[in-house]
Amino acid sequence: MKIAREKKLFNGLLEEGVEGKRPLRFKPKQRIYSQGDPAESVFLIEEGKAILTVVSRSGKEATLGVLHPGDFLGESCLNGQPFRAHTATAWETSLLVRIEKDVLLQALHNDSALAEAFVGQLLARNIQFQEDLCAQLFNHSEKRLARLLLKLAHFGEKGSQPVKIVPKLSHEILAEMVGTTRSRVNYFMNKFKKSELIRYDHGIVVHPRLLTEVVLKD
Amino acid sequence: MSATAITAIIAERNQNPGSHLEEMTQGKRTLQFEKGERIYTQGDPADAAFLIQQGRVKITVVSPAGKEATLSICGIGDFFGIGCLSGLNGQSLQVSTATSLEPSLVVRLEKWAMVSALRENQAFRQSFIDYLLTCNTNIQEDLCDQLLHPSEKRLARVLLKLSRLGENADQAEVILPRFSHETLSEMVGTTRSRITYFMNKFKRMGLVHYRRGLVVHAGLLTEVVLSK
Repeated sequence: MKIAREKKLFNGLLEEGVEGKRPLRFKPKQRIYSQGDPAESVFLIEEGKAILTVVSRSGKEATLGVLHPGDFLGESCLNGQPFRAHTATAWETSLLVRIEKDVLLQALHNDSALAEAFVGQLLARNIQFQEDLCAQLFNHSEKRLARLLLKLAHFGEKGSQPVKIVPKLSHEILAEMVGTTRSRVNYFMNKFKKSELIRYDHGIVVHPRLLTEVVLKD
Repeated sequence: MSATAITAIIAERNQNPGSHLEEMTQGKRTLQFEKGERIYTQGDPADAAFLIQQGRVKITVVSPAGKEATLSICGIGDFFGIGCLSGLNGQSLQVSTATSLEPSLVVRLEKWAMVSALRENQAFRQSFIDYLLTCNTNIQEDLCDQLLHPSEKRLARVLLKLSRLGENADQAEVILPRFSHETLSEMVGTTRSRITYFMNKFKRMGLVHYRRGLVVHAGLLTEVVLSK
C-alpha cells in the first residue's frame, strides 16, 4: 500500500512533463553512487533493493541499511550535503528513478501531498536508524547477524513463509555488514542451519522464526 | 528553476522549524522540568512531540536485558518524541525515555496539532523536512561511528558533539556541564572503566581538562576523530 501510494505521488511528478528525472536500470552489484561522489540527485526505488555501505579511513567497511521499493536514497543532498556519505549498490536487478535535487526541492515546495509523504518517509527512516543504533549498542553479533538476514529477506511484507535472499552472499561480506569477523559469521550461520532457521538453496533461505528465536530472545 | 529560487527555498527551510509554530494556538503547552526530571518514560503512550526552548534533554533506551544506552542529547530548537508522528509505522508507545538534564522549558505539541501543522503550514513543513534530513544525517553518522570506530574515537566524537550543542558552535574551548563517566559510557557503548581510562588519557594529552566542568578542546579532539 505504501509503495503504491508513494509511486502514485511520484508518477504525478513525472506526468507533469518536468525535466530532470529519468528511470535507470541497475544490474546486481552495480554501483548507484559511491561515497565521496558529488551529491546532486535523489533516487526512488521502483523495483529491487539497494544496499548502503560506508568505508572508514582505515578501510573498514560496514553496512548501514537495506532499502526496498518505495524508499528514497541519497536524500541528504536536499539539505546541502555536497558529497555522498555512503555508497549505494543495487542488490539485485533494480529499477530506480533518478530525480535531480533542484527538481525535487521545487516539487516538495509546490506539492503539499508529496511533501507530507516525504515527511512520513523521513520519520520512518529516523525510526529505522534509531533501532539500528540501539541494536548496535545492545546486541552481540549473533543477534545483529540474524537481524541483517531478516532485513535482507524483507520480512514484514511477506508474512510467515521462509524467504530466499538472492544473490548468494559470502560469509566475508556478511561479516563486514554485521561488523564482526568471518569466522564468527561462519559459526553462527552453522548454528542457524542446525536449528533450521536458515538453509542454503542457490542463496540463503531465511525462516521467519529467526526473528522470534534469535532477535527477540533475551 | 533559477538558482536564486532554489536558494530562497533553502533559506526558508533552514529557519528553525519551531519558529513557524508561533501561530499555533491549540494543542501546544509549555512545560517546565527540573534537573533529572522525567519528561516521558519508555512504554508510556506516545501522543505528542516535544520541542526544547531552553535546557537540554537526554534520550535513553533500556534493552529487554536491562542494559541502558543513551541515544542522544538534545538542545535548544531540537524536537524529540517525533516517532509518534510517522503514519506508516507510527509508534503508539514511547520507545525511549526523555530526561531533563538541567532546568528546561519544553513545548509539548499534541500529535494531532503537529499532524495538522504539517498539513496546513507550508513554511513549517518545509523547515521540518530540513530538520529531519539533518537528524537522519546525524543518526546515520552515529551508526557509522558505532560500526567502524574503536571506543576511544567514539568517545572523542561524543565529546565533540556535546561541545557543539546549542550556542557553543565553533568555539575552540567549550566548558561542558558535568557528565558522569556512567552517562558517557552509555553514549559511547562501552564500559565505565574504559571511559575513565580514555578520559585520563585525553587529559594527559591536553585534549580536555577540568575547571568548573569539563573543558573540551574542540580542535584537538577533531584530530583524534579524523586520525586513522
